[in-house]
Amino acid sequence: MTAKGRVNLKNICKRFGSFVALDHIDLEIEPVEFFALLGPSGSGKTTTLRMIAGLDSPDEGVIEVDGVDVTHAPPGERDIAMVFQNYALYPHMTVRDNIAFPLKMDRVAAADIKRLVLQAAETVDIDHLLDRRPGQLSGGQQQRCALARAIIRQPKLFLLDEPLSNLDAQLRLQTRVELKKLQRSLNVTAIYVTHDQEEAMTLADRMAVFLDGAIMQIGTPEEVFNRPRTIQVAAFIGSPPMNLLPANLQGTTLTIEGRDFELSAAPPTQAESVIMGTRPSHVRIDPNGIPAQLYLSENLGESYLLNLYLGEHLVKVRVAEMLGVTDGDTVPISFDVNAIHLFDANTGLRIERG
Amino acid sequence: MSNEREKQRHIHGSNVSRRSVLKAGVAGAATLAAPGLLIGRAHAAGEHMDLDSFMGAGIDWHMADGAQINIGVIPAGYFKNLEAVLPDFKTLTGVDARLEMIPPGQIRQKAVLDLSSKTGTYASHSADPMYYQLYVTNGWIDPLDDYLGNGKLTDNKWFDFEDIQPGHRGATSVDGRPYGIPFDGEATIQIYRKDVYDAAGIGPAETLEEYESNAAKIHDPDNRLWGCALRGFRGAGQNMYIYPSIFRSYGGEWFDGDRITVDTPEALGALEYYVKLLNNYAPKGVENWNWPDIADAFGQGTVGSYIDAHGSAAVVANPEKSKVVGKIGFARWPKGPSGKRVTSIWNWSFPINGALTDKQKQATWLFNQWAGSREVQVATSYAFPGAYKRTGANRASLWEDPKFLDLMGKFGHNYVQAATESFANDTDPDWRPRLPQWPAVGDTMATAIQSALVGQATPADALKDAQKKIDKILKT
Amino acid sequence: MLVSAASLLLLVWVFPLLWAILVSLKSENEVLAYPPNLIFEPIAQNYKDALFGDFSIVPSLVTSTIVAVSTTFLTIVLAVPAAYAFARLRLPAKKTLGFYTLATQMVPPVGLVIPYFLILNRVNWLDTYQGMIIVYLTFSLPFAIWLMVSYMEDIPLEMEEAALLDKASRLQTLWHIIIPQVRGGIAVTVIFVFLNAWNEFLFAVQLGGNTVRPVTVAMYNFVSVEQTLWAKLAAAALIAMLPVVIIGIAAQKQIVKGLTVGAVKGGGRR
Repeated sequence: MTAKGRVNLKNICKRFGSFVALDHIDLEIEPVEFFALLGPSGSGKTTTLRMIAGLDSPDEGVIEVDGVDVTHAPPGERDIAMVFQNYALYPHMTVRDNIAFPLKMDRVAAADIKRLVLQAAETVDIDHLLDRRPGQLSGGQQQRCALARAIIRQPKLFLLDEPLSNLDAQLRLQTRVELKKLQRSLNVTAIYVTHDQEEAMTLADRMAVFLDGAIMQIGTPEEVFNRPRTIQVAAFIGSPPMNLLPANLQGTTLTIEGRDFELSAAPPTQAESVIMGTRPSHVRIDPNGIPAQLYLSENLGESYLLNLYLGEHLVKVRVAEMLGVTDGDTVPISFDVNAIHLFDANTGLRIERG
Repeated sequence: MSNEREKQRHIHGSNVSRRSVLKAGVAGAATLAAPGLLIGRAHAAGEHMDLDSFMGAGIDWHMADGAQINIGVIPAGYFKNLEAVLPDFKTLTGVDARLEMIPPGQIRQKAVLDLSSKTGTYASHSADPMYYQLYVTNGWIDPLDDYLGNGKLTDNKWFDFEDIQPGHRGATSVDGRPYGIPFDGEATIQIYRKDVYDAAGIGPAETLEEYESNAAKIHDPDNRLWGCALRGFRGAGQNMYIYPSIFRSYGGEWFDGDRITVDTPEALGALEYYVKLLNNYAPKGVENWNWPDIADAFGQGTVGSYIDAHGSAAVVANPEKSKVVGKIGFARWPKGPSGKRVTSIWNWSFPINGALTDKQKQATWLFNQWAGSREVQVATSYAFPGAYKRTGANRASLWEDPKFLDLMGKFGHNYVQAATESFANDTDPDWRPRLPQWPAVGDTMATAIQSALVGQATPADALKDAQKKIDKILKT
Repeated sequence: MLVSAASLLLLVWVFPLLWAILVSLKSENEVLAYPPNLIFEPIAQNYKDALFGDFSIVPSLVTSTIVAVSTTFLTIVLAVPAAYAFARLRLPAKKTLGFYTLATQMVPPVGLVIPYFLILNRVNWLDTYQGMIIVYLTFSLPFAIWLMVSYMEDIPLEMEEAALLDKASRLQTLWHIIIPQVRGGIAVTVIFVFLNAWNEFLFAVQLGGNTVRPVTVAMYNFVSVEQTLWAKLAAAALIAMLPVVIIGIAAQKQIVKGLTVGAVKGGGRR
């Protein structure tokens, strides 16, 4: 059986007045994939989701679901369910009626509705709350109610717009896991909008990183994390994101703040002006390193995060122990040259190293 | 008038009464003098009057057969009685005339709206005599001498227009031409508590001065008896209904050439009299009293005397509403310093809307004629089978009809005489200033009178102010 | 302190009503008695007269009901979708609506009588139900739309988007999602519109006639030129008040329901 729920966005462009919300993007989402649209607010990820849902339509480009052009199809004809950030539950209806609403609109027989509602409610564990109204539910219960309403119709596509953002931290972690399990069990394509890279990393099979109306990178979380395609992605992904320092490249010699580092092989580039990127955990304190000024140290529990000034550049370093240094001290640091990322300073693109 | 006609009239009259008395007997003689709204249900056409008596008129009553006309009237007992006998009109003429009851506060505005926009909604309406100048100046209504003088339309031998109270005819004429057929009218008279006056050893006032001293003599607010009351409420038909009589009997003249004068010494004397009288001897709040309030208070025995329309006798002599039945005396207006007694010439009359088609105009004229005829006047008055009998019959001859006088005589001491003499001698065509701008002038005066009464302004200042405003009104 | 102030206020509010009730149960003679009799044998005659007497208000009650119910019904039927459009669509007239609504309330009605009279006369609709109802609609519609727009705007847009995704049509969304949530607003509108149409006098008297003669006009039969029949007037007024009270109570429930729905947490946020 051919899996359902393939989404293709081709050359999508969307403007709001003079503001370009989406600048000619292309995106392909595979069936039963858990796909995250990640990006800061205003980057175009929610607009993309709304266009897939049919709540907005693109100014240019084509949207296809399973090969069918749905660019201008009304939302109801797309076989799509969506969970809104604020859940958008119908306050005047009971939980039961909320969940049943899509089926009623679809003219499903009453007996079937009854059965399916119970089934959906059991799936998200709110079958004991069916006669309450949304106003009588906690935030987590409301969220489950919204999920139940979304899954009951067994849609082709399951859209989630920051569904966890209204929950407290504790519940968010718990729900995250359940959400992933739910998607697996339903075997449905899920498209998930979030600004929280941790959510994206943990939930998504693949993700698209949005910045300023453009997709910077599409890939698995590992790919995006380990091989950010542009400086911007590198600066966005990771908590905290990687350190980015200007450097000079001459053959195998990389010069940072006047100190030369020898690479094992010459990177395949003509560029001399590059940006060196390195994750905080890949920076070491090294008595032979470049001296840097410790500006502030943060205790993260399992580790410490040191904020250092290397010249005029802020460098974040993750260390297991403080090793007797205090704020204001001069701390020499060094980089693991095998773990560094290089970007062309002019194009902003990643320089792949063998 | 000729004897023959007189005889004829009596024959018709008795025809009517014979039939009606039978019905009245069923209704019960006790309610005979009791006005109220429990009037007879609609009767079959032709049942109220002997149609033959109308056939005496040498006109073709069916000349406008099939026409339909609307007549706007106020909800008053006398028009309700007219409505009750209206089926006879249809039988007689084939004209479908419908009465529409319009609240008194709105009928003038509604009529003006209809006339000025020439919609012809109301073929006729119960018109305020003070509005005729306005209507005629604008050419909204037809002069009736054309109708009265047309032998095809009117048989004046039968209709006898001249029998209608001259004061009322005058009030509905402009520059000597008649414009309305008066239907129901009134004279203002003194109404007093005969028992109280007798006990105080006084009689009804001959002069305004005496009226004041009478009030002083019986004034006893501690025992809830106030000396007198007059309309105090602000309005062209309220305080500006009573004050003009005083003004005229003080020798006041409304017109000085084309100008209206309201601040003359006579005017001041009249207003000072009115203000002093009411402030000294009228119940508190009289500045908000209109005629029903005064009649109600008199009926409850708390006011010793008042001057108002003769028709209000029906209210104070109604045992259902009044506690002073049998204790009431009546007299003409007291004389003012000029020696004149000046009564109201108020009446409701029917004009003909100039915007009608010829056939509708004929139908309306037939209606006006019919409603103003002696036969209908009788049928809606003493011959009316319901409890409410009209007192405002429009014809002088009716005030000589024993059956009518018999009915009127029941209201109290000297009623018939006071009313008859007032109609005959005390009417004054210049009672109020007749001019097209009357609505605005009347309101201005009403405001001035009330502000003097409540002490917002001295009578002199109030009149001066009114004079200024009226000058402005007449200029524009 | 607060309680006594509240009871005083209540007394001031209730007094005229109490007076009317007492008067309606007395004979005309007793009405004017001084001191007023607090103990008297109540009579039903005034009500009988008001309903079945010569000046029966029953036909005019029917007229008032036809006019007020039609006006209210048409207002709601037209105002709900219109308000929805105003609340959701980017209409250029949106800002003008508020001003126009206020303007219709600002113009003294007396100033509109003549134009309306002339217009209705031109189309031969004076003294007709359709004429009267349309005139009332010109006042009630802008007001109702303006009132409902504020209720509609309070509903989060996502609620409708959710419904659209759930395969509801625009109309179904309006019917199943929007209207139930603005019940309170509809109830308030119904009360206002019905009350205004029921109690309207000026236009009724000028534009109506024998065919359309609402109870407010007919009531004047008891305030005749000769005398005011207080007891019958009070009885008629109380009878005429009844439909308004019934509508008020019915709508009250909806308003309370509407308030509870609006208070839902989470659901009300955008």
